[in-house]
Amino acid sequence: MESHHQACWELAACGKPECPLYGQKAQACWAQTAAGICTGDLSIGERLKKFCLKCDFFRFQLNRAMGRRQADHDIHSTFEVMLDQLAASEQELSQKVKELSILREVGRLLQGQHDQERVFHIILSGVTAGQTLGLNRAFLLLMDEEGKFLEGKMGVGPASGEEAAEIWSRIASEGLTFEQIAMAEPAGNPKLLGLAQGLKIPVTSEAPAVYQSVQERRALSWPRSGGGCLLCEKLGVDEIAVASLVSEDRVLGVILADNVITRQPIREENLAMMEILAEEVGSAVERAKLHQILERKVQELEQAQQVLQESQTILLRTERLAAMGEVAATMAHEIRNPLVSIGGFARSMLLKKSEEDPDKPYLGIIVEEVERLENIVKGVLNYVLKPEPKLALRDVTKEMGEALVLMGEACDRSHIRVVTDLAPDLPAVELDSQQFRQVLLNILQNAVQAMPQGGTLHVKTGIENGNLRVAIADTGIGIPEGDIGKIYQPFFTTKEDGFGLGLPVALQIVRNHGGDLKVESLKEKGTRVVITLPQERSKR
Amino acid sequence: MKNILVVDDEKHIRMLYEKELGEEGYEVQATGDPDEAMACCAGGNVDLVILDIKLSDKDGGMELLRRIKQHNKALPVILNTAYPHYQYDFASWVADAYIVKSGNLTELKEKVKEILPT
Repeated sequence: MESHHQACWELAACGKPECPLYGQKAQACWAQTAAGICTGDLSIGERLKKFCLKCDFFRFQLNRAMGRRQADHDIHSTFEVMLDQLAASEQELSQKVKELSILREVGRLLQGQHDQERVFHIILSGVTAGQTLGLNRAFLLLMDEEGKFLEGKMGVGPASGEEAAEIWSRIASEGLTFEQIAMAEPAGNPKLLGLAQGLKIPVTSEAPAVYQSVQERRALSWPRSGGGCLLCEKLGVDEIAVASLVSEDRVLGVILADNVITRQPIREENLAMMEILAEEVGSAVERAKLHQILERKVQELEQAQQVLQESQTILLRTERLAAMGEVAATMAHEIRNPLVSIGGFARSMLLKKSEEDPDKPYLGIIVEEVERLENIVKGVLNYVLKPEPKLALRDVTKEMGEALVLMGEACDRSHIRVVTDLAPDLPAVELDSQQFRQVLLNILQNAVQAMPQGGTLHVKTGIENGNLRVAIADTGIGIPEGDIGKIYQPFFTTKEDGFGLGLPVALQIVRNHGGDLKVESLKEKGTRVVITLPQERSKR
Repeated sequence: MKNILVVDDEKHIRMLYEKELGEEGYEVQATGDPDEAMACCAGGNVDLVILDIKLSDKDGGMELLRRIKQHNKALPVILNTAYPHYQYDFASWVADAYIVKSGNLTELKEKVKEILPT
């Protein structure tokens, strides 16, 4: 049948020869999916509405298909309503697809993301992604330590209308992907960052939008007209969207968003999207925290390994030096004894030679050379065998406890009751443990020997005037007043079998540790020895 | 005449000390054996002991010092050794003097004179 109707391509006035329907008036164009060639990327619904319904041929075909010769007005209207609904559904679907694709992108980018600032930037980018879908701007506010204020940390989006035009056209012209935008420098736009950092919002009913969102832990929008919208005023917008960020049941902060440029109302879909994105933050922050803990542990392990390696190196070197020292000491000793004989006899002969004796100068040479060798040997021995104090951090109370164990049997034998008052948590102090043990044993032995008929031994450790203090007191025979001044002298003793070295040795050692030792005594009452050690040598 | 006992496991050192201290007017006995030295001390005919620390066994001199002082605290002992570091050992402090061995016997002789005035 020859048709006198206009074909769709005639109506659209595109007249493209590549159209599969070009020249064919008898074929139903709307049935062809390829019709998009003439009508751009219009959807089916839009295409039907814009072109097909105006096409006589289409209407003729449509009516014929419906068994009607005349176009029925009601059906036509109904069909138009259906098309409108179809178009709206199509738009909604397309928006959902875009939302899902952004959520998928956000999820992908957050995977393996351990930098908290980066996590926040990705989320804010998600809130503002796409001009039609997203909101114009988004801000991040974090809760302060007291949980009283929310402080602005980051902002994403344009600061003004001009900037919006510039940013959005650049995004379009450069074809920037969501990933490129989300992974850009978080500091980003300095103007917006300044605006964000100027935000300090109290978490009280003074700022109802934020307060309600934090209390109810959900996303909501708040209009300026509602009154009391502190944020709307601060940001110069008519409406604000707020979503709270929750991690491990604690509110970390909020995301704010607005449509400062487009002035469009905030839709339910915007809020739903913000809520989903805010939830992502919680888990991402937890992941980031765990990752930080893990990294710290790894770092600690690496440091420990390094210290271990260094210690091993030092130990090897020390062992080698010690071995060399022993060899040197043995050699020096073996050499020294013959040198003493040679030098001694040479000197003896030299002194007996008369001045005229021609051999005298040669004996003098032997004596001098032996002296030179002796000095070398002396130097080696002094260097190798010089005793270094073996300082280590020690607990004085513990040292005392161990000394008391050693003295236990002697106390029992003499029927001595031991009363202790030992401070349990004294700061550790640098001590040569062996030497300090000697001090305690010397004093404890003196105390026990002063109580042959039994008595009480009082032992106390603690801190006094900022110094560590050790007091050992006995109820023994005491020291006669006239002898008190002599007790620190070596070899002074009142005991039959004593050498008079216990106290002088103890005093010398305590002084070498930077401390002091004092003795108070009353005849027939007892003696108290007090050791003080300075705290500045101590380390916690 | 004052009696000095020299205890040293080096034969030549014993000879040197016998000669030098003898010339200073002392009666000198010398031995390298700790037990023999102890027996001499116990015999009561010794006024001063010059004692080497490293005897045939490792630190035999220190042990002998302890035995001598235990037996008679008043008997003076001069520790005479090639090693300077024993003077930091508390056990050596019981001796009356500590002199490092040298071919120049001046210091030793002075100490002997101080302890045993002639």
